[in-house]
Formats: sequence, C-alpha cells, structure tokens
Amino acid sequence: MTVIKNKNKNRNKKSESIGPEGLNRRDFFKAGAVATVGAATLAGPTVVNARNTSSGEVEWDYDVDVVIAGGGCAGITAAIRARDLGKTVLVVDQNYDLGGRMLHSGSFLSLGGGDAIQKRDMAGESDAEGFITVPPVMPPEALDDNVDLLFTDVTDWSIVDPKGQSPYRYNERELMRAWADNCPPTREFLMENYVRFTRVNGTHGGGGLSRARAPYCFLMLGDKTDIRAGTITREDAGLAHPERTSPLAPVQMADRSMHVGPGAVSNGVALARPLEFSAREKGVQFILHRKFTEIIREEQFSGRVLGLTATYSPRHHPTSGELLRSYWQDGNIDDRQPVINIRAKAVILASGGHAGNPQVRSMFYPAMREPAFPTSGSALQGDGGQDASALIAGLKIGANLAGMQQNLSYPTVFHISTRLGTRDAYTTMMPGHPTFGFRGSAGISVGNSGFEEFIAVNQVGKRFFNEVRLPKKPGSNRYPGDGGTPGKGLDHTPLDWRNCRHEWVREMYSYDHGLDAALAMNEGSEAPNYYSGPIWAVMDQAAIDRTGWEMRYPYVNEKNGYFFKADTIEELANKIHAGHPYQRVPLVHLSKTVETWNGYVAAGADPEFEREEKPMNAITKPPFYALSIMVIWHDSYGGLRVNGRQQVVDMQGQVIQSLYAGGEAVGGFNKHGLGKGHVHGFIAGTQAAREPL
Amino acid sequence: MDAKMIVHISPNPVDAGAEFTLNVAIKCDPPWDMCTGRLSICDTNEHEITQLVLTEFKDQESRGSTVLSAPAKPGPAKLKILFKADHNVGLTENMQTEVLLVIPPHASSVAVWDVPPAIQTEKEFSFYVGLRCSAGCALKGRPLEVFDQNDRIVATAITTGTWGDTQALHYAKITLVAPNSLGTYEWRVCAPSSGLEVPHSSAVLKFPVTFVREGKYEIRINATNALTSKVIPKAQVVAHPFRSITDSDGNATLCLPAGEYRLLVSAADHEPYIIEGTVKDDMEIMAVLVPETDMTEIELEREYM
Repeated sequence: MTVIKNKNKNRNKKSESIGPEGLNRRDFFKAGAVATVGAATLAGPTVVNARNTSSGEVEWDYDVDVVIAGGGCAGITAAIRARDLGKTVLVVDQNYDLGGRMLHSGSFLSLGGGDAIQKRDMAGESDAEGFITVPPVMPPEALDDNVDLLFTDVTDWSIVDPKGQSPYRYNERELMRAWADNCPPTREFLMENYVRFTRVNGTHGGGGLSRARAPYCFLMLGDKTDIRAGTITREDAGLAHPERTSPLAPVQMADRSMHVGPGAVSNGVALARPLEFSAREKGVQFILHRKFTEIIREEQFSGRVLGLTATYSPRHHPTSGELLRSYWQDGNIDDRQPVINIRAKAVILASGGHAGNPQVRSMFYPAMREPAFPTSGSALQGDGGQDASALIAGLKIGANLAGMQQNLSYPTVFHISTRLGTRDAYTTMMPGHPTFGFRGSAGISVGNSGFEEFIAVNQVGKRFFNEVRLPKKPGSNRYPGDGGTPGKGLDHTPLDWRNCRHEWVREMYSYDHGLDAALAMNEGSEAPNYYSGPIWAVMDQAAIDRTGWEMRYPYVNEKNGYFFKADTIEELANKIHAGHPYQRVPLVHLSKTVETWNGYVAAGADPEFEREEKPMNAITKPPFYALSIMVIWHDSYGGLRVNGRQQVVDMQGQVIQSLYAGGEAVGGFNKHGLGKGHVHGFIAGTQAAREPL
Repeated sequence: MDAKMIVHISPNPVDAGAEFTLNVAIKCDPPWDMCTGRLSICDTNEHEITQLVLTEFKDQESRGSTVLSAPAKPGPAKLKILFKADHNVGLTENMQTEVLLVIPPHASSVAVWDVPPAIQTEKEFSFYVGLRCSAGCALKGRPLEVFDQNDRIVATAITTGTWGDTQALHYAKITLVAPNSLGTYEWRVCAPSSGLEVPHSSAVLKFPVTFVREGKYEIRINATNALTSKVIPKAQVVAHPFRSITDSDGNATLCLPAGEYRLLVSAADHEPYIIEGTVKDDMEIMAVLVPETDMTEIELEREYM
C-alpha cells in the first residue's frame, strides 16, 4: 500500500471568468442576493442528495438565476434565451467542450409551420447577407406551411413506416402543440444568433410528411474564421487536407454549394459554433468537465427544485493524459472540486438522453445492455455523453416518464453502421480534432453494397445473417415520403386510414431484422447479461483489391482494437481476442466458418442465409482482415415527461416547480435531430426566465 | 491515502509471439486522478519493454493499457510493472507488481489461395499454399502436401519466402494438371509438425476445387447504369462457377460450356442484374443496373445527422 501526500493538490484552481459582462464566482453570490459565500441560508427544509453542513443545510458553491445541465442543442439555446431575458446563466457540461452531439451533426434543422426560411424560399428571396445565390430547391407549394398543419403532421395516428412502426401516433399532444407554435420563433431566434440557413430541401425524420421544412446550416469559406461575418477558413472547416479535420470542426464540413452557392459549407459546426459564440458573447458562463448528477429539491417528492449537484468529470488527452481544453475559453470557470452544488431559481435539464447508458437503454431492448455498442459521438462526448443523467436524477425526485416505447418507433435509433473499423462509427472524424485519439481511426465507409465483399461473424466466429441484408434500414417517414405512405410529397393525405390499412402495410414493409440477429443471445454469452458480443467483417486481400478500400491510417488503426490484419485466419482470430476490449471469448469457430463459406462459394449457393442473391466471394488470399461492425444507438426518444412549457411533470401529473427539461432528456416526441432540441431550449429558456424569485 | 495497482492480461494463455493486452488501473482511497502518470513495463531481466501512460480517470480509477507481443519461447514468462514515485501525480513511493504469462507450444496454420474458380479438366493450373507459425518462426524450407478427395497426395512443395504483405507466411506455388473429373471436390493441404527444433503443432486446411468442361462459347457482357447510361467498371460478373470483372469500358467476357446458367452482374450502389438462360452459342448481354433504392451513404448521413 502506498501513501499519497498532498491530498489537496487537486483542489480547484479558481480562475475569474473573463468576458463582457461576465460574472465571476463571487459576483454570482452578489447577484443572488440571498446566500452568503460558501454557505446556504435555508433554514428549515431538509435538502436531500446535497453536501450538507452539520445543521442539514446545503453548502452552495454558486448561486445563479438559471442553471442548465448540458451545453448541447437544447442547453445552449436555452442559455442564450434566458440570458436575452436578463438572467444570469450558468451551464455545466460533462465534456471538455460545448456543442454536444449538435457539433458533429449534419445540421439538417427541421422546423416549419411557416417559419422564416420557408417564407423566404417561397418568395424566391436570398438571405439578408446575400450569400445565397441559387434559386429555391423546393416548389412554393411544398413550403406553404402553417402551425396547424405542422401539428397535424406530428400527431398523425395514421402513419406507419416500412418497419411497421408508428412514428407520430404516440407523440404527446400538448408537447407537439407547443413545439409547432414555437417553430417559427425558434427559427428567427437561431438566425438572430449567427445561424445561417440554406435553401429548404426536405424534412428531417419525425418532422412530418406534408411539407418541406428543413434547410442545412452553413458558413462561407473565407480568409478568416469570423462567426459574425459568417466565414470560416478551409483549415478550420477541416477541408485543407482530405485526411485532417480541425479543433473547431470534429467532422469535415460538406460542400453545400447546391443549396447556397459556391463556397458554402455545412454541418453541425455551422450551428453549434455560432450559438456557442453568441452565448459567450452575451455573458453565459460555463463550467466544463462537470457532470450533472443530482437535482436538489426542498423535499424529495415535493416542493420546488433549488438547484443541482455536479461532479468533476475530467477528460484527458488519450495519449498524453493532459486535461483537454475547450476551443474557446471566455466565460469558462475552471473549478476542479470533486463535487459542487449550484443554486438556481430555475434548473433546465438538457444533458441528453440515455443512448450512452447500456443499463438504462436495456429497458427498451435487453440486448442493448451490451457495452460493446456505443452511442454516436462516443469519442467526441466521452463516456459521460448521453448517460441518462437527467432521467436518473428526475426519477429520484418523482418525475414522470413519457414515450418510453418510442425508442422502437424511429428506424435508426439503433442500427448497424456501414462504417467499419472504428468504435465511433456514426461519423467520419479525422485526425486534427483533440478527441480523435479516443477512436483512433476514421473508419471505412463501405455502404450497403460493400457488405457483399465479406462475411459477418459473431463473437464466436459464426455467421448469423445474410450479409447483404444486414445493414439495410427503412426510411423514417418525412416529406416527401420514404415508402411508408401511399401518397408521396404533396399527394400525401394526413389522417387517412388508407395510410395504414393492412394491405398497404404488407406491401410496403421492408425490414429484414438483421440488426436483431446481430444482437441475438448467442454462443459464448453467459448469465446474467448474456452479452451479444462484438460482430466482425472478415475479408481477404482479394476483397481489398476489388474494392480499393484504404486499409491504412487514419481510416483504420492496428492499435485501436477495431481493425486487425493477419497472415492466416487462425492468427486473425487470436489477434481479435487479444486486442478488442469487448471480445470476451475466443472466436473458436472462425476457421471453420471461413472454410464452410468457401465451400458455399464453390457450390454457388448459401444454404444457411441465401447469399447467392449477390455475388459470393471466397476468403482465401492473405493477408486477412477483420473490421468491427458496430451497432450504434444514436438517439433516444423516451425520457422525462414535460408539459408545453417544458416543465417537468411528476407521477401525479403535477408540475415540479422550477424544473425544466428539453432535447433528448424529454420523452413523448418522436422527432429525430436538432429541431426538437432547439425549440425545447427556446421554450425552456423563456419559461425559466419567468420563474418567480 | 492508500493506493493499489490492479493488472489484467488478455488473453492468457497467449500464443508465442502473439499479441496480448495489458490493462493497469491505479485505485486510490480516497479517489485520486493520476492521469499522465507513466509506468514502466519490464521483462524478467528487468529490461524495460515499454511505458504505459495512465490516460483515463473512470470509476475512481486511473487507467491505461497497451498491447504487447508474447515471447517466442513456450512456457511461463513474467512481467514486472513499476510505477515510480512521481510527485506530479501525487505518488510519493514506488509501486510495483508482477504478472505471469502462460505461453503454449507454437501453433501452425496454413492458407490456400488463388485457386481458379473453374478449372478445365486435364489442363494445367496453379495456386499458392502458405504456412505460418504463431510466433512468426522462419518456416522457409518446410514441406507442404496436397491431398485430393480420395486422400491421395497430388502435389508436394517446399516453402520459400514470405508472401506479399504478410509478416511471416511462407509460401509455395503448386502447379499440377487437373484430373478428368467434373464437379466440385474437397481437397486439403497439410503441414507436418516434425523436424523442427521448437515444438510446433501440425496444420491442415480443406479447400474446394471445381473442374469443368472446356468453355466453347463467348459471352460478352456490357454493364451500364439504368439512369445515366454510363458504363460501370469493376462490376462482378458471375455465371457460376465462372467469374469475371468488367473493365473500364464496362465490358467482361466469359467463356462457357453449353448449359443452363444464371448470370449475375453486381456493382457497388446498384441493384444486381440477374438473368437466366441456356448457353448454346456466342452471346452479347446488355446488363442494365438500377441504382440502389436503399439509402446511399449520403442519404444515410442526411437521415441520421
């Protein structure tokens, strides 16, 4: 046993915040005008789950008008909105930087209801800055929208998707009405905070079938990165080199000239960074490396919410071990105390969903308790991302839940990625961003058709499904329609029984359940968890020669445990067992599987899985390769129950005073992506600012 | 304050020369973040093999891992893990522990490749066989034997250098005349274990061979995109067991014996083109491939992000 001295070494190095109108830690207490420094003055009520003094009172470290757990899509929006309304705002985030999953998104932001961008495109106008030089992509009639139609679309009982699920039927009506009503003002709010939108060119999943409601967010390539001016350098956009990205942009930005004009680029960087810039500019304060863990309430199941507890959750560089720093610093408070309590008049939970918590998500699908399968953006956000913190903390104080079955009614909630050889298979991050080391490889995007070039095996080395059908996913029922409704585009009829009559459903159903075969309880699993185990794409050099796939860094990495290369199949099996963190058992059947497969190829028939619908290729030419096939749980649709003001509601249907939630922390809204989070944040920030003192 | 070192090795036993993962965690009471701390990994002779950096603080443990190669000699092998005092991370005294590796006798494995998919009877054909030791032993000059479906030796060879981009796969080229037997058969290649100073296991691999009649009829296939009419290079063309790939002009040629065939033409991001029929003369086939209706990668990114 070793004694460690200097136990106070890790105490916080408190630095005063910097920035226009920024409030330092001492100022928070002045502004609060209630608590004295370092101690609470709450006489009487007993507070649970907080650091108590000997008298049972809470020791508060900060006192602020609005505290927000989570600096992503909903959190940043709420922070800016509350700040606009004159409140002091503090955001805590478990990550080292802001943006959450919004930062690595595609920025396809679906709102509607006759929002400003729909109207702009209907009128054939350009944007206020004159960046857009292309004509509208959608015809005016596809943009002629209103909030009543939007509300109808997102509560339409009659829609069934090609997976046989009902994406809109179970949405909370009050929530949808508030969302629809607030779509147009949210669009304008985003535009007022440096977000620039392309031409509308469709609708995002869960956004309705009747109209086109989604543009991308863009910036223009220029000589310098200037959020106010709307420009970004090629280097910062991750476009200076095909195999590099940048600290500003975890994912290389995409060419968006088709929807803007020459020089336009887009992805989540064009949304998250402008909002973050605006938040810092307006004096929102941040404590990063800080994971929200508990809600502090007057009584456990009654009374108002008083604040939250957050623990120190440092993220270190994967190679050097150095503490990671956010891209921008102004407004940051460097606090490294193990635990802090933040008092606030309103608490907003925007800490994401439960996609990254295998235990919680397993309540919807037990096989997804498998930790081998991450949530999207696992490198960018770390283990604390999408960890169900809002759900867990909310339940502890009696919050109700909503939409818990809706995880099953969006087709890509959990899916097999066609990007092989990397754990974080959802995105194409390249070296250059600080978190690249957490994944170690960009991965190889093989597309659906690439699955005919190899066999897919389970954790013991056996095939389990027809590989060419394995990655196929049905569409998600949004304008102009993905096959789930008989009417496409403007021919779609909402609330029509013919959308879901069984003859039609039988005809359009197109899901093969390959994902479910991949998650099956299989040989090598053990009680109590019966983990499914990882799955592997096994191929030979001849497949590489046929396809031209780049089996080299940064696309794959022989050191990250998600790509292996070997002289023989036996050696390949040994390397996988040795090098992959979730390979709990040896691939004892792999050699036999390959031998059998080669026999099927020679016979021209696959009696197990009928692969002969596409060319079958033998696996014989060394060297041999194994790349991980990832099951990704992208986003979550069940969560806390809220009302139309984003107030959290308890099991008796009563509002939990001073507690709000938005984004994926909230359930009852089966809409994919950004449009949900931003509107929730807008509403929550507005309502939180109205909390009585 | 107390600290302890927790070490885990996977897999163990590990083949000679094979890779294994060494995971180390430092757990302190009360919890203490020791990230950036460096540990020294040494062999039994106290020589440092590598350093391991603690890079993750999770579940109140400071963790790090590294991948190493097992020694070539079978038997037990020790590793010493030393964490020297480092005031930068709060460690005031050295910590160390030892772990034991178990290394079984060397495993051998064989590979067979470039066997033609359709071999004309009584014609000469060639393929390659290879032999590898798990420890990467130099196996040049080792015998390999090929047996047919009746357990008769049809070929022998002696391994030479290493093949292509492999580390230690010693290969030989086999050339022989196909028998006068139509059909698909199971042959095998064997590598005996005798004659080596360090014990090795024997190895055997079964592989199929298909013998066919002479192809008399030329089938010329041209692959194009149904929407754009552009030619499709590198499309796979299969009339089992005969195969080809289209060239830059989208053309491929198969030389087939008379008979019934199912022609399959497949290219990335396209639905396969399938036609069935009888071959009894030269033919030209225009294979028009429809682009895949399932989501392309671009649509997937748009759908998900």
